[in-house]
Amino acid sequence: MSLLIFVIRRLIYTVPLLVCAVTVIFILVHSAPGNPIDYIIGEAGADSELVARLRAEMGLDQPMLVQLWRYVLQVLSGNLGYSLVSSAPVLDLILERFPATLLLMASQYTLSAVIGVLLGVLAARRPNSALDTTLTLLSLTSFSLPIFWLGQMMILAFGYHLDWFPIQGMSNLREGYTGWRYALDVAYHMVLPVVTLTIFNLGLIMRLTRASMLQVVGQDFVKVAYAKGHSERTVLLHHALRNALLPVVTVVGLEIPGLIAGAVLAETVFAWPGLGRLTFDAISARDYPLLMGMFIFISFFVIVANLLVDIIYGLLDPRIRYQ
Amino acid sequence: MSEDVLSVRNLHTHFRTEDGVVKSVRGVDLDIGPGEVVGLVGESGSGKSVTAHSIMRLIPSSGSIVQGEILFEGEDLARASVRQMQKVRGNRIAMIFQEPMTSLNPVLRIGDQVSDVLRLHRGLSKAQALSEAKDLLGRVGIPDPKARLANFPHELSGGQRQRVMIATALACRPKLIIADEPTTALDVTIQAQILDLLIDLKRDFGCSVLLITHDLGVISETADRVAVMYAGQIAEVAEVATLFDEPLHPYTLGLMRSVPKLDEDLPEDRLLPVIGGGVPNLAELPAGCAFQTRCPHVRARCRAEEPPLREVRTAHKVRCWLYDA
Ligand SMILES: Nc1ncnc2c1ncn2[C@@H]1O[C@H](COP(=O)(O)OP(=O)(O)OP(=O)(O)O)[C@@H](O)[C@H]1O
Ligand code: SF4
Ligand SMILES: [Mg+2]
Repeated sequence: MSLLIFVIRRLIYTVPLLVCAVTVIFILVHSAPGNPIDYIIGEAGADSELVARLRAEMGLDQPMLVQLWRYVLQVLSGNLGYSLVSSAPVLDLILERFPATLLLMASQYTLSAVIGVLLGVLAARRPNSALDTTLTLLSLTSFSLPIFWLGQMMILAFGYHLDWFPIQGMSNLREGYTGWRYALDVAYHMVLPVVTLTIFNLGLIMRLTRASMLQVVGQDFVKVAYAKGHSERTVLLHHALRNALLPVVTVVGLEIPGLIAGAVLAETVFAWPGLGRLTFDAISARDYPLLMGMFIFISFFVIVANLLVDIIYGLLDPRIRYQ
Repeated sequence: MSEDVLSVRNLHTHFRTEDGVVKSVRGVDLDIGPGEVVGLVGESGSGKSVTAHSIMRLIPSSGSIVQGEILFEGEDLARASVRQMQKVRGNRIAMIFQEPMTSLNPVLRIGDQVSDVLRLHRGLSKAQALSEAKDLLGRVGIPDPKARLANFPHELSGGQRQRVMIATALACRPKLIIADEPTTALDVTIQAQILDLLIDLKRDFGCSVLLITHDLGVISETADRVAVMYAGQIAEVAEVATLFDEPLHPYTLGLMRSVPKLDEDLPEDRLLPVIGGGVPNLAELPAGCAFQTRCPHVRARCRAEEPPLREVRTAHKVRCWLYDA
């Protein structure tokens, strides 16, 4: 039950965080030159009466703090405004694209976490062995490769030359699959972007796990576990790894914004119809309401992801949970 | 002699280091009879822990047992396979370590940490093992043992954690318990309680104990026999009373002469008294007796030949040329 209380407490903390994020975005936008009235009336100009009416309608005549308060309330009620390009509600545009991004991120992150942690344990098992050195080299390479370059190499190799996987989009629109055929088709389209992102994120997780395992394996309770007669496998995976994962989870949590940046790049390279593409398009079209909406949504996403990280941490470490 | 539970013969354990080969254990002989408590004393770095870890075959990969036998109930552990050792550890030989604060896994529940040996070695179900763990926690004097099963280590005091370690060690009713300075890290008042508990339970469970310590006071109160270790070798072995009444080896004599009074203000804990000079470098030992640089009775022969461990009186062995008949 204490875990539930822990989660609820962390949930309560997220509200002020979100308000802070919205405030920062509000201040950034309001300190930028120009104001929305200028966009609406354009170059030609208009009489001051019209401008005053517009200002009153949009609440721009109110003091800054009142405007901020209203904006925060508006965002918290789920209204992110309207796109300049398509006039659609920003939130609808975002939610329409979000599942594709979530699918890509969740798949690649699960894969990189599982493979990265296992390789990290393997490398830490015999430090400085041939296997460890090889894995170290591979992991260093993996996180120093630029993601767009890696993506394009994957496209070249497995898309064009070998022609094994589709190189663009999320599904074959011409076939118009439904049901499980559609799911399979999406999975098939996901292979290259997921592998690209996995390779990119794997290295860091592996390095962290290795370093953390080496530190944990030197501790007394690991010696005790061996002295109890447990096999190396049980000691490493059951007794040591749970402790070793704590710093890994922390750093991975801090890396979440970088994860989103990587996703934006990968979605662009693979023409994946997700938020990354939407952000990219919004920047190109100077669609400010959409961009602001994206910023707020990404802040929200990062806050929720951090909450998840905290919960995982709490699950792994009873000392945190019971504080 | 054959009924000894443990019989270590000419054990040598070396480590490869950047400064060369460190000969931490150099020909240790040690016998432990059924139900016997054997104390192993010696100053820091004399090789007590390495001896204990060798018996458990828990030497880090930079080290190895290069020679000798570790006969445990007739089986030579020095040559046992990894599989065989896994069946011995925590089951027929259990070990208790110095640091109760770090010996328990911080993320696992007390109940799981006491009961896992029962599931591993006795094949009990989780429920059976937990119920037995509860009984064990009761026997080591932990109040409300049922509630403690669900606790995590950080919720227990140092003394309670060491009780948990003792409960774990006893769980599979081992023939031998190796306790490597089990009370050094505890408050003085708690030290006595833990030692009494260990000795009481050892009697009830009928196991033998190898008790490693710095503390001559602990030895005099608990051990049946004592082995004094110096620079990787046993310098002297005798019954407790004999060793305290008539120590023979110059090193032991030095220790006895300066045993601190119990009411004195003691530096650190009740460590072995300091004898002039330092422990020799185990990577570059001189020829002859290892104690020659600190011995007041050193003679020419001591620098030329290494003295053997010889029985000079009944059940009293010494490694020193002074007693060469
Ligand atoms: N892993 C290792 N690598 C190299 N040398 C080691 C290693 N472990 C122990 N030694 C050396 O072996 C010698 C004996 O160490 P050991 O830990 O057995 O001493 P000890 O008698 O238990 O001392 P203490 O009372 O401080 O616990 C020391 O000189 C130590 O430096
Ligand atoms: S052998 Fe010689 S040096 Fe060694 S303890 Fe005996 S008298 Fe001293
Ligand atoms: Mg030691």
